[in-house]
Amino acid sequence: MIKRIKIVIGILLICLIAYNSVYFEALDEKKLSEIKEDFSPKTFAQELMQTQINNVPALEASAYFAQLDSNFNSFTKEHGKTLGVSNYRYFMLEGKGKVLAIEDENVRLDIEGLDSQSILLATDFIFGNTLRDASGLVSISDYANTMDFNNISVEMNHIVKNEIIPPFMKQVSEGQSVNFKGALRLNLEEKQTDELRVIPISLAITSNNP
Amino acid sequence: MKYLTIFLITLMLISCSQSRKESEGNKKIAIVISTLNNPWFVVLGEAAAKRARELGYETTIFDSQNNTAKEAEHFENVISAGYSAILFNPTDTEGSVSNVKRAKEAGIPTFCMDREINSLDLAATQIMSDNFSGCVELGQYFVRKLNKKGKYVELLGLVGDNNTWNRSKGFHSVVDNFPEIEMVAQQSADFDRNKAMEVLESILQSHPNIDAVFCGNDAMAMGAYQALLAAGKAESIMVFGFDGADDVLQAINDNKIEATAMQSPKLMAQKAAEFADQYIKGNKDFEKKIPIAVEVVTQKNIEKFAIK
Repeated sequence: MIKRIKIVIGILLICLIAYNSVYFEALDEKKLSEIKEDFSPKTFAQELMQTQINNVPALEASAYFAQLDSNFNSFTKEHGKTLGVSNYRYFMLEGKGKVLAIEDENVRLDIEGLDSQSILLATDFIFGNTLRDASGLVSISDYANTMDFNNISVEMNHIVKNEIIPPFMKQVSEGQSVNFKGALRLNLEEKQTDELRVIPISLAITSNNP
Repeated sequence: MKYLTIFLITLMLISCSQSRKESEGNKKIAIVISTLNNPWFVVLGEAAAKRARELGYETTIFDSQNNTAKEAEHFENVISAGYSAILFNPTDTEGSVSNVKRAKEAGIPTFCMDREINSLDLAATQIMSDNFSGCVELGQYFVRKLNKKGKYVELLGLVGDNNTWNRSKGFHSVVDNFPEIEMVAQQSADFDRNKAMEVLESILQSHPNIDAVFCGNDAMAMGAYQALLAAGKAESIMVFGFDGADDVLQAINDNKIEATAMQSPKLMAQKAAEFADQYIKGNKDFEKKIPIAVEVVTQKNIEKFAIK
C-alpha cells in the first residue's frame, strides 16, 4: 500500500516538474515581445524615411486646393487619413511654387497654377505626428506601448529638421521655384485652407534665377 | 397523444424564447474605475454607466481606489457574477494586465478607457486621449509664451501610468529643443491637487526664480496655482495643466492659469459603452487602440468652451 502511494506521489512530482519545465507561447506573441525589446524608434524612422516615405502617393497641390474649395467635406473624407477620433485629417501633398518670403519658421510658397494660394513650408518648429500620420506607414495597433509609436514621430521630425531642411535653407531665396513633397494637417472644424503648413520630406530648387 | 406531444413541444419553445428574452434583458456591464476620488474619473465612470443603461444594460460602478489588489478583487467579483463586458479604467499599465487577462479567459471582453495596459491582445480595444499630441501642442504654446527662454518646474502624474509619460514626453519632444529653456525640477505629485501644492511649495524654497510650471493634469495645476498664490508669485509664474477640468477652464478665463488640453472623458466613456454593446451583439472587429484628439485651451480660445 505504501509502495503504491510512493509511486503515485512520484508520478505526480514528475508531472509537476514536467509541467513547469515546458511553456507554450503563441509565435506571434513571442515575435511581438522580441520586437518590443529590440525596437529602436530611431532605426525604424530612418528606415521609413530612406526607403518608404518617398513612395507614398501624394495629391497634387493645385488640384488639392481646388477640391478643398469646391468639395471640402466629401474630398477630406475620401482622401484624408486620420488617427482614432479626431477633427484632423492628414494628407501627403506635392507640387511646385514660387518662394514669396523666408520667414522665421517657414518658407512661404505661392502655389503654381492657382491664383494667390500660398502654403508654408515648415523649416522650424517641426513637431507632432503630422508626417507619421499622413504617411499611413505606421499603425498604432502594432505598438503595445503607445510611446514607441509616438517616438517614431519624434525621430521622423528630427530627420526632417536635421537632414532635409539645412541644405535647402542654405540655397533658398525669394523668387526661386521649388518642387516639394510633404505632409499636411487640416482641421475639419476650422476649415482653414490658407496658412496651411507642410512638413517637407523632399525639397528641390528648380530655378535659381529670381 | 399526438396533440399532447405537439402542445408540449410548443410550450417548450415558448418557454425557451421567453427565457432567452429575459437573459438578454438582464445583461450587465461592469464599470471598473481607478479612483472615484478624482472628479474627472467620476465623470468617466458615470458617463460610461449612463450610456450603457441607455443601451439597455444593468450597470455597476466599482472603485479600485488606485489599488491594483482592490482592482483584482473587483475583477474576480465581476467574473463570478457573470457580467457581459467590463468598461475599464486601469490603475496601472503593467499591474492591470493580469486582471484583463483573467476576464478574457473567462470570456468577458474588456474595453479600456483613458489609460492603456501594456498588451495588445487582451483588451477588446483601448480608447484613450491622444496625450502625446496634446502635449506637443501645449509644449509649442509653452515655448512661445516663454519667448523660447526661461526656467520651469514639471509636476508629473503617477509614475506607473503611461499617460504620465506620454504627456511628459510629448511636452519634452518640443521644449527640449530650446537650449535657453531650462527645467530646474521634475517631481511626481501623483495627479493630486494637495500633493502638487506641497511639492511645489517645497521646490519654490530652492528655486524661487522660475517662470512657469507644467503640470501633468489639471488637479495638479490647481494645486500649483494655490502654492504660487500663497507664495505671492501667482501673477509672475505661468501654470499649464492638462484635462480641461471646469475649475481650470474658469481659471483660464480669469487669467489665473495659462492653458490646458481639453480631454473628452464623456466621449471616451460613451465610445467604450457603444463598442461593448456592439461586441455583445457580435461585432468584435475593433482597432486595438483608438486615440481621441485633445485640443489646447488658452485665453485666446476659451470662449469656445462653455464654462459652467
